[in-house]
Amino acid sequence: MKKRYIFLALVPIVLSVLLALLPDKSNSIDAKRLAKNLKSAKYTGVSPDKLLLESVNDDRFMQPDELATVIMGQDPSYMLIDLRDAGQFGKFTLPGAINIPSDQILTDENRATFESDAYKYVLISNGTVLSDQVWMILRRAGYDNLKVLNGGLNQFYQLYLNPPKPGELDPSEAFENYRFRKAVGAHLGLPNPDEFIPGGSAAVASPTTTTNKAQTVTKTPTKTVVPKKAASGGDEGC
Amino acid sequence: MGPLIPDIISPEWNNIIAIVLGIAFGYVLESAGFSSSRKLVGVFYGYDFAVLRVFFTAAITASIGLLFMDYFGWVNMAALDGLPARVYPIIVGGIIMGLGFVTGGFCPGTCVTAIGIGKLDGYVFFGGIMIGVFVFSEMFPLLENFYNSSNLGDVSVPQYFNMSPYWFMVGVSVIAIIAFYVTLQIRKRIKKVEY
Repeated sequence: MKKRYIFLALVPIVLSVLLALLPDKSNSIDAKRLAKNLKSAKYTGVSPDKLLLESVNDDRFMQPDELATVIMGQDPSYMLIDLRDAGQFGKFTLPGAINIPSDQILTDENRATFESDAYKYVLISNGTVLSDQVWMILRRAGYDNLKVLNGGLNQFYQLYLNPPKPGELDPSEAFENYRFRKAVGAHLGLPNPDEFIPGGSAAVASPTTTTNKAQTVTKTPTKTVVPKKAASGGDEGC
Repeated sequence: MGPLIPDIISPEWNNIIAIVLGIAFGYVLESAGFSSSRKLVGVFYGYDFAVLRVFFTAAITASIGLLFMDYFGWVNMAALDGLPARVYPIIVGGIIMGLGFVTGGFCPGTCVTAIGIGKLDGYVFFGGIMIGVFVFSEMFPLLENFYNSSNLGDVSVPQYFNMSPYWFMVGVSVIAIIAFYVTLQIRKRIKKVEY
């Protein structure tokens, strides 16, 4: 009886010492707890040095042609986020875009929009600067799958309202691109430059004159992912 | 099933597993004799330390097991939810809980076990818990400030003192074994109580 007690008493001691002496604590619960507590402090985001590395990398940019393909194909895995204020959004935007003004990007409701893994989020503003700033804020706050529309709406409309004509010696891809862009322009309801601008490309109507009415989707069709939180509270019963 | 093997057992099974675990827990409590309030309060009077031993053993077994499973990556301990450490409210709550335990002879789990085998004092104790819950809920606005005071957040002891959780576990195991030994000696010297 006594011997059995001693043996049983040794078991937890030996096991816990073994635990303490095991090599490689990369799985250390301390690190994970720390990470979790940071999460609750809403600072899961990428570390500043990583953010710096990402920000000098052009991977986050989405080229207008890529976006046009998405719009034409009505790809459901992309969510277009128009960051301009509601007034500008009301005048025109891209088909399917939803409006989250840049100054409201971190409200609880809007944060929830970005928490789904199901979408790639394309940040859109008039140019690149505002959407790039918002990209940095969201990235620092820990959100993934963010893209920035390179050149913004201005370049986008410029490109499809008035696609640069390929020269005669250009490769055939250039002609394909040109036709694609004209087709996108037609799809977006932009006027064909050949039809009303004499000589083609000299003067272009301002994009604001286009009648592409905003698709005013204000509710986000997101599948919001509730932050991971195991069954909360619970008394430690005895 | 919680953070453990989530890919194999889908979350829909959680409640079923919880019921099975609950029944098993109640069965173990009952077979350890914890449905008897005399046995339970023995720890306060020094004639029976089964409570201390069982719960201390359960605690170190569970923590060593969890730490091992976490080490091997089967369980993500960071995903387990801890109650925030509110120092003074917990001290006050502990005193109230202790007073209830020593006067009533049960703690909440064991009183349900006692109900399970049809003990009347278990029912009375459970009624008392419900009244206490009601009174506390009604008084909550008055207590709210204190309830939320001195909140250290979800910290563990080793984290607070910035030490390795594994060596902390070694310390706890040693303390547990010492406690078992000391209580064994105390029990030997105290007159046996029949109950």
